Amino acid sequence: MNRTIVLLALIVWPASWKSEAAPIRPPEQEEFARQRDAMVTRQIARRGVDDPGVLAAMRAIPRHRFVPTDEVRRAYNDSPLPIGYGQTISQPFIVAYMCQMARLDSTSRVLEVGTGSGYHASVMAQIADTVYTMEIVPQLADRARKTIASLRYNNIVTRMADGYYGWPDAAPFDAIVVTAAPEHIPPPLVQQLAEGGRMVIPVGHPFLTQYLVLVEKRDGRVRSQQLMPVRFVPFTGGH
Amino acid sequence: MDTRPPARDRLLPVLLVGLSFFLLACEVVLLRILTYLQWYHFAYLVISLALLGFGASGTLLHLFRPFWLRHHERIFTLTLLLTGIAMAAVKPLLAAVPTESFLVVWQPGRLWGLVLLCLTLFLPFFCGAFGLIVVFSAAPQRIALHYGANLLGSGAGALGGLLLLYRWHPLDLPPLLGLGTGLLGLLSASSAWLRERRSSAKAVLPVYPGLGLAGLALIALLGWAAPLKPSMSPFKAFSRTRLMPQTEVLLERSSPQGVLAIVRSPTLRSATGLSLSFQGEIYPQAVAFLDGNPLGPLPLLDDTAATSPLHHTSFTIPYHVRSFSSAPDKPLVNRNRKSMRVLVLNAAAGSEVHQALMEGADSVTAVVRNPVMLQAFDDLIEAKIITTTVYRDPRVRAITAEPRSFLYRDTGRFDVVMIPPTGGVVNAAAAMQAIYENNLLTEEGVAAILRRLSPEGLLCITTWLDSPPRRLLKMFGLLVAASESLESEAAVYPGAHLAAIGSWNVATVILSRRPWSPGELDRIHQFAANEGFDLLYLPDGSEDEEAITYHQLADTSLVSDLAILASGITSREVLPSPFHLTPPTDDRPFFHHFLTLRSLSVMRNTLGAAGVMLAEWGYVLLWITLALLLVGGVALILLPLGLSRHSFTQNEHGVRLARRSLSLLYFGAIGGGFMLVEIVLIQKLVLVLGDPVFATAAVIAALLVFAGAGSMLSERLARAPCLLVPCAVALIIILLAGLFGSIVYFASAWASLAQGSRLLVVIAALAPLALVMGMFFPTGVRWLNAAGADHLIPWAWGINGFAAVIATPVATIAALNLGFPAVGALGAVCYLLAAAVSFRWWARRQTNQPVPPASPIPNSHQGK
Repeated sequence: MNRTIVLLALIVWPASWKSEAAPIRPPEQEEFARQRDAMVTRQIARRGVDDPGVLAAMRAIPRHRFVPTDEVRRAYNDSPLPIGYGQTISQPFIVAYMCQMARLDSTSRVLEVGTGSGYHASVMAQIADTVYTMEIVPQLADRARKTIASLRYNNIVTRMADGYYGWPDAAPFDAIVVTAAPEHIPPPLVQQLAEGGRMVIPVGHPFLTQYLVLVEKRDGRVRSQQLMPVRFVPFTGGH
Repeated sequence: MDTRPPARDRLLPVLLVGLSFFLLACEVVLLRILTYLQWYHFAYLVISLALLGFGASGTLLHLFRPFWLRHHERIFTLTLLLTGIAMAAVKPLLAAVPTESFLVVWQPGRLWGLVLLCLTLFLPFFCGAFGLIVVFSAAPQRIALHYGANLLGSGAGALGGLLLLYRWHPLDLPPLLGLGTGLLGLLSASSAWLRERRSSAKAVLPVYPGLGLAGLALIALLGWAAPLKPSMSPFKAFSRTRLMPQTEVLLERSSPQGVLAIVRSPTLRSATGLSLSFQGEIYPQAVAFLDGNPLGPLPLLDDTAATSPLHHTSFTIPYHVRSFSSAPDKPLVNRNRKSMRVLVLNAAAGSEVHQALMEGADSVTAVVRNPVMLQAFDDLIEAKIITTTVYRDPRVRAITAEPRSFLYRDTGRFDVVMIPPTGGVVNAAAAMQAIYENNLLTEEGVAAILRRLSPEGLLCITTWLDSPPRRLLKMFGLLVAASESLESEAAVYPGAHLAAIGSWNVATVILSRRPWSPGELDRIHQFAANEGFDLLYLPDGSEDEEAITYHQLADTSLVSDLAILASGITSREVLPSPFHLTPPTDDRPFFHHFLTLRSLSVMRNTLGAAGVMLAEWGYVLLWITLALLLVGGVALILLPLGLSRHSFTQNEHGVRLARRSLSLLYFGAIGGGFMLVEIVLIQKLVLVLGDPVFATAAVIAALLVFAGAGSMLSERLARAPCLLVPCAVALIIILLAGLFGSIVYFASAWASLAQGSRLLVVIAALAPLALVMGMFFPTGVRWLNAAGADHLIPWAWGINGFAAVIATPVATIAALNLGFPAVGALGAVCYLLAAAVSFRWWARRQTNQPVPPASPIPNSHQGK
């Protein structure tokens, strides 16, 4: 019996410790800026992402604001992090690489399917004209909307809806970024891709090595290209 | 005069049967629970570590032996209650312990969660096993009866645990098992109180029954009143789907094969292998999940070929290339055929069955692996949630069977055999499946399929296109090897029978029983062009010019590698791939195992250290399991036993160390040997018995019961101890070799027998082997006892348990790398080692001391 109580105490202690994350103070902001700089240099630029716009955006966006409080100290680690509801915030390099592959510029209209934490949308918003981002999990959509609002990004439009159908009112899009792996590419997304547009999408099975696929629409015909092995959270909803 | 044994002695065997039953049932249930909440390989890891509790119980007894044996009756009653409490506590503790152990790949700090999880599950086994060894050690004169009761209960528990899963959800079972064990504790406590009251002139307070009732109350509190309920990993598809708006779980059914759930949601749409050219509507479907992983969608029965996305998938190609029906809109090859017969293996929720009917099949035989699936559909219809199912179509014959077993049993011929992506290769292709055996995707399995094909028949298999490419290459090589093994015209040039097309994420391979005609090759070209699929292989060589028109691969060598493979299986050796691409056979039936030492460095360079784990984490976890077991075993069993003062204060110097070394070798060898042989038998007998779950339960139960009989028999044979072990080893090797040599023949010859008859034959075949295997432990302990080293009996129990637990990952690693015959041989070597030790032992005893009369000894079934 005593053993059980000790065991329960051991379990409860780390749980309570997790929920007591201290607020971030200004000196810590400087430390985060330093970590961000190191992240871009070591994890992103060194692996071949060389688009200046993308690198600048990755340096600018405070990734630690998009992760749960108990993950803040790992925010700039070279790994994905859980954000709740079975979803993750992608590895920094993957975010940068997808942005580079989408070939965003200041005139791009971008659709993101799977807002998640809102981090990827924020990075793209630093580069593109407008980012339309959709999330189907209400809790995630609400949290991301609040985070984005608190950071005062005014070129991000959020919507809580099934990304499968895309955003017909705002189509066509120069780029579509799908941040979770679908089993098939939804036909509405293909339809909403502008001629010459690029869709970046992860492919593969949950918890398996996946690879990025670039889907391009040229002359009305859809073609794809395997880019590189990565890992993602599976596409919510579509099986 | 009353010659009956005292009441306590009459009750004890009953309590032992009960305790052993609940312990084994608990092991089965916990494995199921963790598979449901997380994934099988973490479940396997955690349960393996928890089973160290068996060995650690021997350590505890060894350390304070006089104390435990002095209070053995009270201790046994207390362990019953504590085991019950520990079982009931599993549910709330699982809810409190963080279950996302797999995140340890990225966050080593989460290791403490994994440790707590193991500890949670360690306690019931530790407490229960301690109760057993206390009884065995305290009453050696009744060991035959107690050990028999222990084995009988264990055998019943292995079967009972599975049967309970048909009735209850696995999460509801730990409190029930805890309650059962707690009731045994109450019974034991009440019996002690009654006995004490009878023998005492004074009034005796019912302290023991009171304690028992308090234990039961605690069990009830932990099992049913505790507010904590374990939840499935949020990363599983079922968990994520339940977060979607308007999601409805239509049905949930538990079975030993897993928890089946059928879910309806407006967000669920399935179209694996769909052409990117398809611009139609994909409607929401209900989806079947097994243990939280998607099995496949329920087909929309009002779909037609004109509108259905299924008509535009890569695996619809057999129906486009060689139509067997008289439908006028099809490019008919053989208009004179009267019917098209389709076989769908691993049919799951029936999507591919519906596709076959839509494409004009006149009859479809659907082999469904999980019997609960068909029952679930009937229940949905009865509850008026759905109106009908594809399996009720008069053209469909639904059969519940393991596909390989069906192929042995059925003599029919089919025009198309489909292994669907939803129920077969694609789902099973997950990295976690690497150490799963797949008896269908072996040379013998595919050859069995090819024998069922009509002269113009086609086999169609779909698999993921991965990067770096490996699954498609292995599949292609397997089909080539299987065609060659048939010694038909395919042996001349197997590539003439093959074709492969690829979409952006899957590839479909079709194998024709006869070589393709020029017209058929044209139709393959036409189908690929219409749907935007790439021609990855065609025997006309055109893939060189046309390949990779639509979907550019990261690895451009895939097409040329397929062409090399198509020229014959011997050409496989020239492929530069670092992965394990040798076609699986029945001896190494691991289709999804790819990692080699060379590929590890390739994956590491491509994906980083974590990438290796993610590429095939089942295999990596297996090694981690082995490493943790070694660490845990050394810390909990070997080190405490080795350093215990008992061993250093008794007997003469020098003899002590030799005796300990010999007993380490002997009990380790028989513990490991028993497990290795058992694992091989389960794998082989799946082919005879069909269902893997049923085969596992039958083999374990039969081995335990007959090993118990063998243990009792060993006392009668103790008069010739120097011959017993070598003769037993010789018998084991002969019987194992006989079983191995004949099993494939019998699997085929007995296929037509009813399941019950096959089970009886299997039990009859296992009985002599198990009888012999059961003799080793008691014989070894008898020798310890005779040598005056009975203090080493708990040591023997601990070593035996440790070796048995460690043998499981060792057997799997050996099977993956060397094959199951090597595992059988390793088991035989273990027994040979035991025989060699027994000779040495016997020789030492003959020279050192006279042989005291043999006494009954405690035994263990833990090496099962």
